[in-house]
Amino acid sequence: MDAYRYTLADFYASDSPSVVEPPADWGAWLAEPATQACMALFEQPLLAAPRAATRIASRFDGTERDVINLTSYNYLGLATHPEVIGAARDALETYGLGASGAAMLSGTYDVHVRLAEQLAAFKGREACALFSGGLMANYGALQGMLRRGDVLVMDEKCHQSIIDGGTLARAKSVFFRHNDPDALAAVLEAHRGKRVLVAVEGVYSMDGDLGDLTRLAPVCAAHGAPLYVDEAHSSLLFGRTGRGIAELQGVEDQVAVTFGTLSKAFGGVGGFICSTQAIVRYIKAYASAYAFSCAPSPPVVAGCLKALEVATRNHDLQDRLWRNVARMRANLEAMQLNLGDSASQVIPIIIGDSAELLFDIARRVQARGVFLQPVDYPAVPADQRRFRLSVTAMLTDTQIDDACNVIEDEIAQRVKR
Amino acid sequence: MEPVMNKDEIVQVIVRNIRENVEDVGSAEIDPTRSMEAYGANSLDVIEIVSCSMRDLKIKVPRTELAQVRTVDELADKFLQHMQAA
Ligand SMILES: Cc1ncc(COP(=O)(O)O)c(C=O)c1O
Repeated sequence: MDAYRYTLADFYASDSPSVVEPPADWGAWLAEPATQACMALFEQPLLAAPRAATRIASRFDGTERDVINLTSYNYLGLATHPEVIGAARDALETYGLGASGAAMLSGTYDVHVRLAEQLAAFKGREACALFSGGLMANYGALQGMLRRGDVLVMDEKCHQSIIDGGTLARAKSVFFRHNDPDALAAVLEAHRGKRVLVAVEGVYSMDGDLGDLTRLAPVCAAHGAPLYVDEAHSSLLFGRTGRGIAELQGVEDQVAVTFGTLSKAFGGVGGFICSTQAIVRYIKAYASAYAFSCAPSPPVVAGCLKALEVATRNHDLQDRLWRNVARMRANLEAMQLNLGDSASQVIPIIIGDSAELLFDIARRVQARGVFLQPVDYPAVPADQRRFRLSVTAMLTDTQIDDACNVIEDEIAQRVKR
Repeated sequence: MEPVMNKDEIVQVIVRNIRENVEDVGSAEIDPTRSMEAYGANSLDVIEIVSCSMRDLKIKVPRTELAQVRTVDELADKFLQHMQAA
């Protein structure tokens, strides 16, 4: 078996006689030394906080090593900010570890009410619903609004949680070409007379490019189609007040529902959606992820409240982030690497179609103390396998330059454009 | 050894799986040279169509090698190539 010819996409279909036994060829593939060497790069335990410098127990060579962290959602450093940690610690003392109840019955605490109110105010909306995960917020919002017979129209690069949300709601799923207003118009034209929802993202998570809301929103408006924008990687980062790409592009009044996660720039875990009082109330009633799941942990909620305050009281963290992004980009561009259409803190380094090369480079880069993770098909197209680098505000110039030296030696020297 | 199927038979298997997996096709004539998306198959449906067809044909072609396939005809060619190589 040539292990590199196969990917996770090949074992979803199962011929196993029992659902509690994986398919036989899956076991054979996993047992291949090449597969094991690739898999060893995933689920490597971090031994310290997700700061710019952290420590990893490597699973591919069994060594514990200090690394420069280029694979973290802790974009503004709020997960490790002293004020955020302090607020969470205080809440831990006050409320304990878990909410111990679903939001509707006994899981709503004063901190949950405050965070929902403040997120709604931050996003300039009437109301907000909190969920225990970002993925759950997408599931919940879409299941709460869409019904069988409705159509969920998605940009083809939308996150799995949006795709799954449509499946859960038993809506029809239709994709349009990435950021293409004509393709969107054609889809909406083809589904005239149906109830539709158009879902797009602010920053696309695997490419780091921006949703072209300026051109897509008017198409939605012309067809009377409400627009749902996932601002997972853009909330607190983009726009004059940090509300995201819709604010940056001046189309907030054309967005019906805005989504955010608490796991990225906020530095915690959880998700939220903001919209009108009427629809938020309705979503909460029919979203399983809201109604039938324990409310977010109070210390995390209190930490996120503090994170919102810290991130919006001035632009210091954002300024540092964008300075670091500019420095990183300048370094990478000088190496002639293929960075796709990235226009954010998420920067792909696109390698091409060789899984073998991707994983070989990944091990070398990590062995030299740079934590940069590979992204393989089917998460990205097979001819665009890549590293997905995320820049954070905490990186120092020296860390950026040191990491770039390793990238130069190990990636730029081996990948010719 | 089983005789290798001919391309027409492979096309029939794929077309049957399109009918079973895509709501909107109904009884419309399926032109193997048109994109499967033209019949309302989204990318999730295509994954399902390919899985079911490979199961029916008892073959396994790596997905990465099918990434560029858009039409029934192209898919049948890939399957045929794979059977002939086996
Ligand atoms: C665009 C997008 N939406 C939603 C999510 C889900 O968020 P979370 O990881 O907080 O569950 C993610 C990230 O994982 C994402 O990238």
